[in-house]
Amino acid sequence: MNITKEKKDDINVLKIEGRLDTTNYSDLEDLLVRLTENNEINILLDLSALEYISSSGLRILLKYLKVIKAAEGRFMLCAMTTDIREIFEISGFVNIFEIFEDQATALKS
Amino acid sequence: MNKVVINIRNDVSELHEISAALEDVSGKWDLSAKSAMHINLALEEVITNIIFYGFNDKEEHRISIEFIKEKDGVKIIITDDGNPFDLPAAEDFMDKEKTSESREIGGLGIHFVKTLMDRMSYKRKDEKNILTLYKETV
Repeated sequence: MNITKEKKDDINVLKIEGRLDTTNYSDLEDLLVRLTENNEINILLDLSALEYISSSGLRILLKYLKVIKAAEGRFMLCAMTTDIREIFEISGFVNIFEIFEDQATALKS
Repeated sequence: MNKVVINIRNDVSELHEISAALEDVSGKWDLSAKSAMHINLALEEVITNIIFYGFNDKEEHRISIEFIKEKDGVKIIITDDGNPFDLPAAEDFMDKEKTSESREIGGLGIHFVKTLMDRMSYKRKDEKNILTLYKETV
């Protein structure tokens, strides 16, 4: 997995490439800890290059959705592929997260 | 060749062996990327569960994973010498009465396995767990 971070207005856009699973979810968690501790609580995950996400990865997303909501920030997802979206549907997460078509739509919302 | 067997240690760093094996069989058996991902997800859940909860000692154990090509799908047999499985019910996880914020996440793994696989069976034999998963691919 590779994560690139870019700030657009007051939103931290994290692009996640590759696989997010049991072996590496803590890399994403470390980054989310740092951001939220610095009160960077508007986060958009660009999932266009995410190839695989297991329940360990989903758990981290849910955990930080709660943290960020409690801090009155926004945690958004965008640009997921059809196969990844299916995993979000199976897990019931499509109804929990704000999910957008692409970065531009999310940033305008 | 209609069978590929891998043998991994009880350590999560071995999970990449599963994705490597799946990449291998996907090419050989013409599996779709989606089917391969579903099998990978189910296996990651099963194997991490065995690694985290299967053993009471700190010894090294081996977990065998067999991929067998069948006419209309792939059978996967996972064998380990850990504690017997206690397969929890996944039904509670999708309980609509629960709100998103209070939903328990613990059952997500087993929910994945049951949803992504078409069949699943379990037996305990000679002090070993033998879990068989089946994914239809046509």
